[in-house]
Amino acid sequence: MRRLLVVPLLLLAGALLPAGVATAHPERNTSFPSIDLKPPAPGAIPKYRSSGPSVVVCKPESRRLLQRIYKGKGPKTRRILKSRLKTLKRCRFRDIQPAVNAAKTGDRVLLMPGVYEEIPSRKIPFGSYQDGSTCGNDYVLTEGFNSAPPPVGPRSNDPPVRPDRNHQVKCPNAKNLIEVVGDPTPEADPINPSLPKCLQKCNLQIEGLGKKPEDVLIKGDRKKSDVLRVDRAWGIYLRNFAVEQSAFNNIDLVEVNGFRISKIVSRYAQDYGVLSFASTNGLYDHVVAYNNGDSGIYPGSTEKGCNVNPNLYGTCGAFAGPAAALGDGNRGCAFYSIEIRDSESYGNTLGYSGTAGNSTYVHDNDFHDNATGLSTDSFAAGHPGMPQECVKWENNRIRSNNNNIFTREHQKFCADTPFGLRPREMVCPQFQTPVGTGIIIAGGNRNLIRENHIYDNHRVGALLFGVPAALRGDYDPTHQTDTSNGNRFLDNIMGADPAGKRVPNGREFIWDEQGSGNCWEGNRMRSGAAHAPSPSALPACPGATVQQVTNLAVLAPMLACSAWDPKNLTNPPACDWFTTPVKPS
Amino acid sequence: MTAARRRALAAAATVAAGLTLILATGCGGGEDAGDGPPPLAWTAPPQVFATKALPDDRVAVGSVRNTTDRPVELNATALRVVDADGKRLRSAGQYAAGFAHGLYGAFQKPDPIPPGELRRLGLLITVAPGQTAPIAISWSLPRGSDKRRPAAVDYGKGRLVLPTAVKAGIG
Repeated sequence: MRRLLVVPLLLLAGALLPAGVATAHPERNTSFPSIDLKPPAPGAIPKYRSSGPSVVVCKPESRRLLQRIYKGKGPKTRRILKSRLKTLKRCRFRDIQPAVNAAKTGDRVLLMPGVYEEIPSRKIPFGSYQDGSTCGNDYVLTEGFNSAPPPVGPRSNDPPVRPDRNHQVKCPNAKNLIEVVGDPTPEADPINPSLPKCLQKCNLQIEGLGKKPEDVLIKGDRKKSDVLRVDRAWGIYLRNFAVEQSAFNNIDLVEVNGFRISKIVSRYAQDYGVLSFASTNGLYDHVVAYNNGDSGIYPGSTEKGCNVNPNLYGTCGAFAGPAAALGDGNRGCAFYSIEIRDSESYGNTLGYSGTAGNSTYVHDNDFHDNATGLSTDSFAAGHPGMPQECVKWENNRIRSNNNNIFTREHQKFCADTPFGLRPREMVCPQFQTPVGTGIIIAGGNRNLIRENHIYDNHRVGALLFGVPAALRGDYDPTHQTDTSNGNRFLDNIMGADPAGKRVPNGREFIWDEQGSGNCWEGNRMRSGAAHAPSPSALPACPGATVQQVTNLAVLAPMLACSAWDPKNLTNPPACDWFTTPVKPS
Repeated sequence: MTAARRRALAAAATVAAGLTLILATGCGGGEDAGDGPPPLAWTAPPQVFATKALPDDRVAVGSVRNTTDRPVELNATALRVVDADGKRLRSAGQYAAGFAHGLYGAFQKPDPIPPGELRRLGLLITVAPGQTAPIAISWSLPRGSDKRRPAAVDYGKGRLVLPTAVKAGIG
């Protein structure tokens, strides 16, 4: 539901600092590409290229696979096979990382069919903090390291440190099977890294030359954090391959201005299938993400789509009161930073999540059979772009998100079995989420949820509630009620599939009644009277012009779920999120 | 006073308690209240909820005030609910005004968990004299237990009585 974060010592007083200077990130501190500029950042989604300079990567079996994949006798198939075989003759690399190393800005990296295990990268030690290795000191210390009281909850053997940008530049394959580094400049002060820029390997296109994504499989070793990490390599285009089995993220884009992720299959990650962080000008399309332990698709810490400095605390509109409710048609949300379309995400803990996932335009996707379909939130500390706001989600199918991966037996297996030893298909939830839920907006503002089909989610179609800023580590008194305001649910079809068949949600909507300017209008509620929303009378637009307070009857049961701990408290008292909801009739 | 009005006031009190805590607490540490009278008191009766799915479980939400003249350090791991006979019930809680989850994946938590994270989640806090903090605690009633007998929160340095009246939670 959010990313693992680090809070460096110098940024303890995070609430008083610019929100955009990421106080936390698994790899290092980040900031948005638009620093010192008003968004949108200059840049664009890269265009597909079928010609131009390229490097070719292949496996010994690539020829045989090509002949099998393109075995038809039609003229088009024969033409493609001939072209592929000709390209194969230029193959100089057996692994992707050396091909990336050899590539120059604007090159294409062409991947012939085969399974890429990246054995040379696997042999590079993962390394650890102060282990005496080349990069042993290139870590960001989490605040309190070695001085904290006894921990609460389950422990790993990791100290609270994360590799900084120097680590990623100097030792790219310690934590990543493949890394594309766009900025090789060493950081003099890694706690306050330089502003994002791309100096090399910009506008690369990494493309599989199979017929379908699975023809080119990049297989993680279940030890490296990321299978494919793209760090400041702007303009990257990833196309037509499959990625699996990372210990953290299968695909991880950090501080990237301009990207496209197209025809990608991402599965079996311990955490995220495809993740972008502090990135903008992006497009995900035809992505299929399944069986990932957190979310299949994660556009987190997305640049705000309005004229605020993204690296400072700021919102696209007033966050409370009449201005929030009665602003212009878009309520201050001017444009979208990342578009996600024509994708499918299923079998994950969450189909989509985005902490500080601002200004995403998510449309024509299918989120199904996850524990929860989509979530966007302002929960966690250290994500630049807080508080979350301004998504537009429309024309999606959000259905049947009832996959209970929180059963007692399942959780016990997960707790007893390290990731490396689990069956690859097994999903162990990294965070707690209410099973049977279509959408969660937890501390969001000015989001527009429109014309979706939301059905067969056995708990609730959509859940909206506020999150006090203190819970994301922002203790500024003036920020405490900066969520949830100005959210609109318009013209959704609730409890019926696109063919018009009634398939009810447990409830259509649940709202904690907190905030201002939240409204519901034009939604067709087909689930039936027994599945009415809570509250039963949802406000029409523009919504309340004054701040309303929380209905504790909604909040209290959720509070009980905060205590979830997969090793010590798998089933907290009074938390009903993990009780499989009864199928609505 | 209408039910809605009461609810609004209670919720406002909870938020206010959270804000007070934010303003009143530093980054952990501080002198503890030590021995002496129990340092905490309810600022108003907490509200107790149960959902249809878990009728034998309860969650109480309220705020507490440090009634002493010294800071009091509170560790959520010490929170317990005890029944009228003083028997411990299965329970869990935190000093937080809203739902939150950890920064770290369930199987990737560092050791130790940083104090800033513990504070953010309301697991380890310090309340200045006279100031307040939100609290949420949940518990399971054993089958067959007398639900009319009052239980209490044991927070390690004293106990706070819980009301027996239960409202319907929306789960």
